[in-house]
Amino acid sequence: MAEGRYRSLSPLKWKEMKDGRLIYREELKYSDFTMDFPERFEVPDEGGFEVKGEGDFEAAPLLSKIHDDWVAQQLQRLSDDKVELLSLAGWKHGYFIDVKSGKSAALKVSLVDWLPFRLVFRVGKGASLRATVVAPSGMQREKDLKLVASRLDVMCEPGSDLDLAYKVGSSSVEFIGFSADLRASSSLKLHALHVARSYGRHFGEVVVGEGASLSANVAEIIPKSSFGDSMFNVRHASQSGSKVEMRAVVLGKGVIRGLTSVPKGAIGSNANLQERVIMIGKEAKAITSPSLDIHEKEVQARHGSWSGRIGDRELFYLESRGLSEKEAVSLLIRGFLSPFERVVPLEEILEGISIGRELRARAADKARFPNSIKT
Amino acid sequence: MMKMVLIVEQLCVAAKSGKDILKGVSFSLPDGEVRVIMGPNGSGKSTLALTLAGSPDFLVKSGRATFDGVDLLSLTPDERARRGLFLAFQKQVEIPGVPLRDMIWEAYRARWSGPSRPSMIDFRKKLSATANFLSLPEAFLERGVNEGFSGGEAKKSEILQMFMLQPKLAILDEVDSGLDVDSLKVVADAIRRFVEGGSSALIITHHFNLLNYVEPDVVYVMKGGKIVDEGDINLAKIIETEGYSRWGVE
Amino acid sequence: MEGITELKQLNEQVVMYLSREKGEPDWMLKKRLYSLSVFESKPIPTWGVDLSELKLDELAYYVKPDVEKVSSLSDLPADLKKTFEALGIPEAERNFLGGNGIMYQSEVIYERMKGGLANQGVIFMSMDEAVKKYPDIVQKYFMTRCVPPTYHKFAALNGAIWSGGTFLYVPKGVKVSMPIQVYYLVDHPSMGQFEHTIIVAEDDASVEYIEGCSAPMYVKGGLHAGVVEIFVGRNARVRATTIQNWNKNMYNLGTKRAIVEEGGKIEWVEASLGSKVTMLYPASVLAGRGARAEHFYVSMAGDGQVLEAGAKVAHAASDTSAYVLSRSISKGSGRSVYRGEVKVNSGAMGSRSSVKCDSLLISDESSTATFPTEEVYESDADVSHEATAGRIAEEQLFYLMSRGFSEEEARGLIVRGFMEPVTKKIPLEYAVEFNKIVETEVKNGVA
Repeated sequence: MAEGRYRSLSPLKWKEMKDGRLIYREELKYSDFTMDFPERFEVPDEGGFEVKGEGDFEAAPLLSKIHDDWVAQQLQRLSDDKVELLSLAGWKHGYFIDVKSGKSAALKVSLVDWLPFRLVFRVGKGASLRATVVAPSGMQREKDLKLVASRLDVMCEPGSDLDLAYKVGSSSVEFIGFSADLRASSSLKLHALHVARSYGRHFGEVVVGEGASLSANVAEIIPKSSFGDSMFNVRHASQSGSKVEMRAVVLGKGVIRGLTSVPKGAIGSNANLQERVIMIGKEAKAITSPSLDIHEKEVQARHGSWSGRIGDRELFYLESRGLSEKEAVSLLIRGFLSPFERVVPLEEILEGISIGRELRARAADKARFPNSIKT
Repeated sequence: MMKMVLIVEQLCVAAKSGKDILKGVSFSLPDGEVRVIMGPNGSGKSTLALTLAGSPDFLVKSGRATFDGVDLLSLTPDERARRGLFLAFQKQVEIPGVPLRDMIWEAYRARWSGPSRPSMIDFRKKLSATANFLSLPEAFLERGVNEGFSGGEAKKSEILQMFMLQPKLAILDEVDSGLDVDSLKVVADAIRRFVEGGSSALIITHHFNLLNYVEPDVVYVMKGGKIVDEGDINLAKIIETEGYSRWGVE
Repeated sequence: MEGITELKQLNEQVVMYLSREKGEPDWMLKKRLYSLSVFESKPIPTWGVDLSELKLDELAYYVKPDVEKVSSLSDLPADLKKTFEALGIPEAERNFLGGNGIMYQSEVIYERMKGGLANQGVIFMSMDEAVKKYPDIVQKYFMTRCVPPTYHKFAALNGAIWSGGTFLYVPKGVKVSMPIQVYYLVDHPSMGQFEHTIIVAEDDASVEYIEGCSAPMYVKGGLHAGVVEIFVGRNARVRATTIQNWNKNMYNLGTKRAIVEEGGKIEWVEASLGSKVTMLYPASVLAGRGARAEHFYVSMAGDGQVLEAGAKVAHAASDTSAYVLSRSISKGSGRSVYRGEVKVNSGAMGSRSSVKCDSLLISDESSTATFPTEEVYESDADVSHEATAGRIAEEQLFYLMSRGFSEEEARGLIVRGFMEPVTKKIPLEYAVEFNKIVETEVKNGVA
C-alpha cells in the first residue's frame, strides 16, 4: 500500500507482556480503556453457524478445508495488529463458503450464539452470490471471553459478482476484520453495519482489480458510553472503480477513517470516498480522516467528509409537518441508515439509543454555555 | 458548380468503447446554405457534430470530410476552429475561473485578420451589444465560462461566441432545446442574422420551432447512424406531426 | 554588528554572541537559550516529508549582508537595485504600499512607512529594532501564547537563532488601507534564514501584510524556518499574504499561527512555487465567539519538489467559522500534499468549518495526496471536507480548442482558471506575474 501517513490513532497498543499475559491500554486521549488479554482462550464447542440458502454453493467448516491451499492462505491473513491473533480462535467456528464457476447462490449465515467467527467466501469465475451475515446483538456468554476478534475474508474471481451484507456488534470488546480481493471485472456490493456497544473496532481492506468495481456502504452506530473505531482502505488497480460511503451515528466516541490509494499505472480509475457522521448529544465526539494518495494522473478521485448535528432545515421541515423533535430525528436517522434495512430492522439498531434524552440535554446546555472559551 | 464549404463522405465513427455509431454518413453543405439534421435520440447526430469538431471521444474508422477544400479529419480541433469551423456544444462544458469575456477576447484576437491590431474597446462594445441582443446579462460575461449557467444561459453563451468569432460554418447541436419561448425567439433571431450575413450553418435539432425563424435549404433525417432521407422544410413539418414513424422508428 | 559575518555553528556561545551583538535585553537572551535547549531535545519529525537529507550541521545560521542599511531604495548597490526593480518593488512602493521593507540574508536593510501611519500610532520596523525600542510590547507577544518554543523543533530553532523579520503593530481602531510589504532575499549558499515576524492588530484595527521571498537558482542548500505570530483583536481584520519562490534546493519549514479574538478575522493567502520541500501549516485559533479564519492556498510542485500545505484550525469558542480552499498543481515528478487538521472543542457550539482541496496532475510522474483530519468534540457543529484529484478534463481542453486555442494555450487557460479563486486575493501586479510563471512552467512540464 502506498504510504498511508494518517495519524496513528491505533487505540490499543501492546503495553507489556508479563507471564504470558498481554496487557493493552488504550492510548486515545479521551478514552481510557484497559484490557487484559486472557491467558487461555476458551471457545465453547457448541454454538456456531447456521447457513441457509439456495442455489449452488458449498458450505464447509473451515477446519475441514485447511488442506486447501487457498483456504489455508486466507486463514493466515492477519493484519499487523497482534490482536488479530485472537481471530485464530474463530477457526473453531468458521465456515468456508464456495460458489463454483458460473454458478449462483443466495444464502444467509446466522450466528446461533455469540462467538468469534471466521468466514471465508470464494465466488468463482463468472459466478454470483448474494449473502447476508447476521450476528446476534447483545447476547454474550458469561465466560472469560471479553475480547473477540472475528474476520470475514472474501475473494471474487474474475467476472464474478458478490452482494454481501453483514451486521456485527455485541456487548463485548470486539475486533472485526474484513477483506476483499476483487479480481478482474468482478464486482462487490457491500453493506456492512457495526454496532459498537462497548468497544468495537471495524477495519476493512479492499483491493480492486482491473475493471472491477466496489460499491460499499459501511455504517457505525456508536451509542453513548461506547467507543467505535472504523477504517476502510481501498487500493486500486487500473480501470477500476470504487464508491465507498461510510456513515456513522455517534452518541459516544467514534473514529472513522478511510484511505483510498491509487498507485501509478491504475489508469482510468475512479474513486469516491464519502464519510458522513451525525453527532447527537453532549458526549458525542468524532474524529474523521478521509485520505487520498494518488500517483496516477489519468484518474478521477474525490472524497469528502461531513460531521455535525442533524440538518436544521430537514428537522424543521419534518417538525413543520407535525412531528416532534424526537420523531423527526428518528425519521432522519432511519433515512440515513436505510441502506442497511436488509441486514436488520432499524428498530433493533436504534434500540437502547435514547436520542430524545440527548437532545433535551443539549438544548439545556445551549442556554448555559459561555460565549467563549479560554485557550 | 456550387462551392462546398463541407463535404462528408461515407463517414464511419465509433465510440471509444468500440461501439459503432456512424455507419457511413454522406452529405455536403454548399457555401452560404443552412442545412438541418433531425433524427431520434441515439441516431448519431451529436456524434457527427463532435466528430467534425475533432472530439477526442470518438474514433473515425473510415470516410472523409473536406472543409473549405481542406482535409478536415487530419487537423487538430484548434486548427479546425481557426480555419472557421465552430461547434455550439449541446452538453454544457464549464471552465471555472476563466472569465467568459476574457476567453472570447483571446479567441477573437487570435483570429483577427485586419491590418492593424484589434481594438479592445471595439471588442467590448460589440460583445456587450451582442449579449444584450441575446438577453444575456452583462454579469455573465464576468463569470467563468458557463460556470453555474442554466441550460438556456449556456446555449446563449454558445451563440454569443459564435457571433463574436464569425465562423465560416457553424454547427449548432440542439441549441434550441431547453429554451423558453422568449429565449428561443432571441436565439433564433440571432441565427437568422448570422446566416443572412453569408455564413453557413448545420443545425441539429429535434424541434420544428427553430425552423419557423430560419428556413433551411435542406432537411436531412438521420437514423441508426446514417442519413436515411433528404427533403425540404416540409419534411420537418411531417416529423413534427408524425414523428419518425415513417422511417420505422417508434 | 561588527566583525563576524557568518555564524556556522549553533550552540550556547553563538547564541549569546548574537544576542550581545544585537544589544538585546536580558529576557530575549533567556528566551533564546531556552529555545535552544528545546531545539536540541526534540527529534526531527518523521510524520511528513522525508527530512533525512536536511543537513543541519552544514548551515550558516547567520549571515551578515554585505550591504549597509539604507533609507531609500535608490541608495542600494546597483546589482540589488536591479533585482528589486525586476521584482517591481520600487513601483509597488510608489503605487500601492503603505509600508515597505527588505530583508537581505539575515538582516533588514530597508524599511519605510508612509508618514500618516506613524502619526496614527502604527509601528512597523525590523524585529531586532522593535525588541530594543518597544521591549514591553514585544515581550508580551514574542513566543508566548501564539508560537511558544515548544510548538515544534523548527519553531524552537527560530527562537534560538532568529534575526530580522518584522514587528507590525496597529493600535485600536486604526484601519491601515494600504498593504505593508516585506521582501526577503537570500543569495548565500547553505544558509538558514530565521526571520521572526509579529503582527498585532488591536480591537477594531485592520491591516494587510504581504511577504515575498526568493533566492536565486544557483544558491545551494538552505533552510527557511521563519515564524509568523499574529494576534487579531476583537472585530479586527488581518490578511497575511505570502508569495514564495525560493530556489528548488531550499527547505521551507516555516511556522505561522494566528490567535483570533471575538468577532475577528484572519485571512491567510499562500502562493508557493519554490523550495525543494515545503511543510507549511498555517494555524488559526478561533478563541473568541464569532471569530473567523479563511485560508487560501495555491501551489505548484515540479520536478524534485514535495510541497505540503495544510490548515490547522481550532474552534475554541461558539459560532466560529472557517473556510479553507487549497488548489495545487503537480507537474513533472512533483508531489503536492494537503495535510490539515480541524478541531472543534467541546462547547464550541455552532461552529462551522468547510475545507475544499483540489489537485491537478499535469504529468505522468506527478502525484498528490490529501490527509485531512477532523476532530469534532461538539455535536452542535457542522464540519465538512471535500477533495478532488485528477488531470485536466479532456472535455474542457476540447472545448477551448474548438474555439481556436492550441492545446498548450487551452491548458494554460484552464490552469489559470483553476488557481483563480486564490490568485484573486493577491495584489493584481503579483498575481499577473505569478500566473505567468505557472503557465510557462505548465507549458514546459507536460510529459
